[in-house]
Amino acid sequence: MKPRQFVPAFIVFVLIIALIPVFVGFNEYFILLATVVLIYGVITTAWNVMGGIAGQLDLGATAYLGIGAYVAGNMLIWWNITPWIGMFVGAIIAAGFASAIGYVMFRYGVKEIWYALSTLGLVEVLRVIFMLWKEVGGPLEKYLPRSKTDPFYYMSFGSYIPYFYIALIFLLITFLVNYRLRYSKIGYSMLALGSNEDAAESLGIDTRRTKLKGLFIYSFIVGAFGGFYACFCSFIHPNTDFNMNFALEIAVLGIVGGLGTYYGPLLAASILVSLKEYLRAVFGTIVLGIYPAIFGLAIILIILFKPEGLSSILKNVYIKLRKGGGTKHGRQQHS
Amino acid sequence: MLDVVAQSVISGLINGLIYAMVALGLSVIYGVMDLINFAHGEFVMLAMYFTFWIVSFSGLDQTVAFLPALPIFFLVGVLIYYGMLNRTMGTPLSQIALMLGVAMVIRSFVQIAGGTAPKGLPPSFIFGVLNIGSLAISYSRVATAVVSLVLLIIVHLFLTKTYTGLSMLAASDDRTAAYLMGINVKRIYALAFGLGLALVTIPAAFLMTYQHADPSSYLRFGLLSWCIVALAGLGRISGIIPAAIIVGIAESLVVTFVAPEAHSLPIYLLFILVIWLKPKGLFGRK
Repeated sequence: MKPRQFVPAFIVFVLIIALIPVFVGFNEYFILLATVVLIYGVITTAWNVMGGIAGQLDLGATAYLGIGAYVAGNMLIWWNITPWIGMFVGAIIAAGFASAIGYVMFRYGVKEIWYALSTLGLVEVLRVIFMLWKEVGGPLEKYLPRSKTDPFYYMSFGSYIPYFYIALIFLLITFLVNYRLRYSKIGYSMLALGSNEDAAESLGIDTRRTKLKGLFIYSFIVGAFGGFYACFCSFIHPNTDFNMNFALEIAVLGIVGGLGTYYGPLLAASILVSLKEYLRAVFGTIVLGIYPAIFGLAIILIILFKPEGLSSILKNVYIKLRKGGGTKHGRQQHS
Repeated sequence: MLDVVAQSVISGLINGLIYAMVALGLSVIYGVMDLINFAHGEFVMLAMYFTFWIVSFSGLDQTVAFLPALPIFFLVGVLIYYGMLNRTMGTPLSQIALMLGVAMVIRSFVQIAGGTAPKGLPPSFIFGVLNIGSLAISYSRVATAVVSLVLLIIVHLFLTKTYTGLSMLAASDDRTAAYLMGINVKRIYALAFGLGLALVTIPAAFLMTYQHADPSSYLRFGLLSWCIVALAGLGRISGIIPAAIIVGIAESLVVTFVAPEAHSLPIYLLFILVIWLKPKGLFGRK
């Protein structure tokens, strides 16, 4: 989609999502499901900056999510500071932490599978550290204070609708950041880096700086979202926030969605997470544990038959529609 | 105090040798095919369940229960290679997603077929405790460690002395060159993947002599194996033993002197540090 066609499509897209609560008749359960989809959508879209556009397989999404959740959560528990502020503090700490780690990693040329594995190891290291660090974490869930008189200050609403719209705002911001980045100078540097690091370097791109920038943006968004995630769960626990499988799922959704696009990960998250939650609701009580199998099979089939990702389907449909419309852009193929 | 340290180091050493055998299959797959098998822990767990089922249906001893499982795993490996991996060679990200899909299917299968309760087996014919002075180690662990050493030596000899093994090493060094030398690289990759999965059944069978299997067993062995492979360096069978012993002893010392729930901390910290500072591994080729 070209920049000039982006704005109307984006507005339609926002309106459709924003009206979901109306479509489902304000049914709390369906709004909860939609919120879960949005949560995956936000993190996967943020992941896309690093994983999709810059082509660095990052498996540490929940490390930054967890840091954000723990910072915002503990600020609320200890000093009664609203998560709206805690979110930004969490984002800054998560991004600072990620940049410090990233600086060392990129300095020593850790890349490809070793980058993936060390970010995954990072999640597990943080989980164990917060499990042992009794003041802020520990093996017991720490519940966030709630308030009936001032739900906004504590971000503890009685309904899922506010959570849904906060997540939606996050998604819009993340999506716009992705889109802006994708067509900016640094975005093109990232794309070059993603397709061939040596070639990018030989063309004068400072790959270490570019990677660090990508990591910073990604961890900042995910860290800020961690504060929301803590309030959404209404408790913080190392296994929930520093969850290795969650981080892996994010990366899988990003890969399945199609690398190097800005909308692919969101597409994959909305289709596959809806499928997963639907399967959980339908089969969860009949055959215990069958929904991950179907989810796993869906991923396998997509990789085998649509290796370029789900976004390619959307792209083809879009190109066909343009051709049918017979406009002057009709024959251009663009991503 | 000294007794506690000695006991801790000895049990760490034995555990390390056992971990070496667990990581062996992953090392073969990664070393030969450059494939990131994220389902390794799941395959270990699946093999442990297979051992449980075979022993409880046939009454065989755990120590020989891998014999029927081994060819099944080998075939599954070859089928997975020809059915899925062959089509995605050269796109590592797709392969990672693919293997994670396989991992999810295995987790789910284990839960459906085995339930969520832990599955333990009665002791095998090896039982009792070996006492040396004040140290105590169960015979089943010692036996597992010995089997591990023997298996590592066999695989090492296979890779360095037989034609198929040398073809695998050649394909891992330079795929195109191996192809030009008349090696059927696809077949070699299929064999390597089958072998890597088959090698999982032996440690799984021996683990079942003193451990139980449950649907979260994969968590324990997946990343642990990757740590050992990273420490050992790319596809080095001989590097696995010292790497695994370091991991085992570090884990055991932390469990004894810091906190039992921190057991994975030293492993992953070591792993991250090694990746940063010595990406070729502690015992890798120059």
